[in-house]
Amino acid sequence: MTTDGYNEAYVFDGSNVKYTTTLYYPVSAKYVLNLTILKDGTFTFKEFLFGSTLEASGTWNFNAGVGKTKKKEQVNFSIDDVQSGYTYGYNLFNRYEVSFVYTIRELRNKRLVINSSGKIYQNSKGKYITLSTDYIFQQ
Amino acid sequence: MKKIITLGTIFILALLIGSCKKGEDDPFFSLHTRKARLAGDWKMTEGKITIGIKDSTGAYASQIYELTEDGYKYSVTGTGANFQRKASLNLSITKKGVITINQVMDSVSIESSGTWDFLGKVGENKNKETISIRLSDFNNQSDLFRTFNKGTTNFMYHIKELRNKRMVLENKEEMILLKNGIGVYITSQYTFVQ
Repeated sequence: MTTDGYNEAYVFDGSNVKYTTTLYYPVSAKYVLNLTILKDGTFTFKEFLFGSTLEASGTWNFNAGVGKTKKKEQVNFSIDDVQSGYTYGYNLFNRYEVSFVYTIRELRNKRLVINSSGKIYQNSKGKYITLSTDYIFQQ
Repeated sequence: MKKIITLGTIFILALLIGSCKKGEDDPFFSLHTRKARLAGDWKMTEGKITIGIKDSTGAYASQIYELTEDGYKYSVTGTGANFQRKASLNLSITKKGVITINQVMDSVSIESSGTWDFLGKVGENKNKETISIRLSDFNNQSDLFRTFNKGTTNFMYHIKELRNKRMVLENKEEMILLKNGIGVYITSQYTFVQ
């Protein structure tokens, strides 16, 4: 994550996260992210990070392929309901928003690799936050 | 035999034409693709935004913005708050997937740009009935709920009507933010013309 002057990095190994920043000492903690995607266009996910849980559900869809993006190269998630936590809290998977887009890097029967990047916020003085994420999921 | 072929052809054509209609107010038939119809410079002529804010006690308040092509009227339910100010909203959409948004709401002037795409056909969603927009550049703040981007950098609109020179975008009771027990929900509809 980048704002005007410092970076944060979160590295997940499937059950733990190591958090490093240019401001503080590195911290390790428990981390869980489970994602369920159904063919009917719905999804649920549960993310636990630094004691903060976000459990939410909604709908997903592929992009249609306009401009430089190929058809079904991206997946759009839209949260409709939150069972636990906040959309704008400490959790990362939803990019602090209710609608978020991931690019599909690899899609196999039992393995999914997705990533996202871009601004998530800018203030009136031009300071901004970007967030880049890479996830590997296995069934 | 000729009659059967003719009737069959008419039936198939009717099915094909009918399948072109995605939004509920779309034209029954158009010679232009949805991408071709969406591309162009659009000026907002009418709009309404309802921002519902639910606090941690469950209390609900609505802020309502009624937009015209050069101004808006603001009101808050349950209070006397009410005023009118200038406003405008213009979109420039290209076939290559680029979108530029120019919006003025009273003293706030925002120009933002990014990419757009249709969403596909998964679940109950029809193919190309929803537009997804990702903004990457702003000349001002990105987090105003009352603006076209709904205070976010990634957002979607259902395309209710898409004609060559007229477009209606909408979203209904969409949760935008949930933070510290406060939920923000937006219902909006914009009419654009070229």
